[in-house]
Amino acid sequence: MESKRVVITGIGALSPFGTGKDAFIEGVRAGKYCAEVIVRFDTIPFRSNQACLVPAVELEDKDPRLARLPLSFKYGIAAADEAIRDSKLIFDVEEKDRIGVFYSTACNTEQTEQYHLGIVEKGPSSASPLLFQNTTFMAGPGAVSIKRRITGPAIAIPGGYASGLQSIDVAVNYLHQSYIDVAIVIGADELTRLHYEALYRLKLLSPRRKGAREISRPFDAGRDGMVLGEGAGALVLESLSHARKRQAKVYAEMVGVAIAHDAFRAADIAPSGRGLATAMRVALADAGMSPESVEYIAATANSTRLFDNAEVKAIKKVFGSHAYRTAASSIKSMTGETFAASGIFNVIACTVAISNGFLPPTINYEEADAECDLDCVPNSARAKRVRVAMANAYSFGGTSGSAVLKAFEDTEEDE
Amino acid sequence: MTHEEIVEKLKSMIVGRLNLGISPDEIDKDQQLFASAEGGGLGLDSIEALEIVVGIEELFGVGVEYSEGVEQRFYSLNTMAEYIEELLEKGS
Repeated sequence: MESKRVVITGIGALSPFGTGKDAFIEGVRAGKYCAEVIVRFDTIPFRSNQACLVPAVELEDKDPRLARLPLSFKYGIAAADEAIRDSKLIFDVEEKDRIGVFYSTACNTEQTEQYHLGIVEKGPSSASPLLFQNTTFMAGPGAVSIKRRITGPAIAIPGGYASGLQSIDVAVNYLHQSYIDVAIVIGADELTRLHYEALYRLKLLSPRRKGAREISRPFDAGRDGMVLGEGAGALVLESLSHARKRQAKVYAEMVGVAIAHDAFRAADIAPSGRGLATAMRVALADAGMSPESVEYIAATANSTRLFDNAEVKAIKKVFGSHAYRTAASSIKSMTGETFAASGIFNVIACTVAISNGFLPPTINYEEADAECDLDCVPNSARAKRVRVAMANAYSFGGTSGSAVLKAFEDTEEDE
Repeated sequence: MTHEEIVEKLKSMIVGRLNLGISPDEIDKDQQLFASAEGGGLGLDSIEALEIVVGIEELFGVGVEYSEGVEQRFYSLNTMAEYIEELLEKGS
């Protein structure tokens, strides 16, 4: 019998909306569309040329060792810094081996590509030791731990687009087992040319219409593929007893989380959405809640026919007729597909629905699709405060995750 | 290539490869590379030393044995340039 309650006490976001969680919340409230023409790399060979990129990243520390890290890790470090500041944790008084860092990524960095390209072009003796060091999976979590002398677990989770929720799942398990008191959970990715090209060649990106903006329009009948994004989201998760002891502000309670795999194909997802349905069902069971209690779902729909249809099918399977009474919107309509960050961003979207009093919209929605006939909060944010919300993530390769969040009530149970 | 030319090339290479965010002129040729910044050095670490080795091999076409004793040769830009001069002489 599980007894530990886990709460969210810090939030950080470096997103296509800009720097900070406030920029994220305001962007979501305004329904801001973030796609711009890519200048970071050459898109001339492609029929697409737009993405939702992070406008700028500035780190607290002016250390050149951090400055030369890949963008992706800088994003993650900046988001973690904000979440930790936001939580008001004082590291001088914390037991450092009771804090863990759970860091998820889905994609390689541009420096990883450079590292391998250098070896291919000039031979192994030209391999850059610094690029090697900067591009290992541990470079991000290592940097977060080293800065604060955190000596608990530092875990890198390269788990595809659902890895943000995987890192939450692992962190919550550590907290439930009382191995740690505090978890710093990060999901971060940068958009690279190679990743862009791969998805373009797989015909998964929304193609450019002459002079028009490429449109991310989850659930819309006219959706024709993803617009890619990037960024980092970070959360401070904490056992309730620890949060109480230091009188921390609580955003929401993390009452259930689960990850699952659809055991279908290596680079695909099961069209029935069965993996995501399993994750949602197990997360609800973990929370001890019925589907009827969920009032909002931060959907993982990314404007592809495959993902959006699969998610709607999965929601209907788990929620039955209640699927039509709950709202399910996708912030990827604004930020594009943000890979590992997306799961964390969806959790932040749930805290918005719980504590900021509005439901994030699905923007760019024009034409109803009979296959995606749920309430997607079309085009503008809806004033509503919910008690229970769910965040989803689904990845090529079949990994999925789901988290259930609840408005925090400081009752005496637990400890 | 004169000693001074080698020193200048090393400065630019090190600042560029290590992304130090300073101008090459800000490194003194007698400054200790691995002593801490507080101690007046450049505060480099062992991986950065390896990066410099790869940079020297590319820039001067010589092979550097990264073994014991090499720290003395990498003490400052001056000693590093002397070492490269020896390697160039050996190679020619």
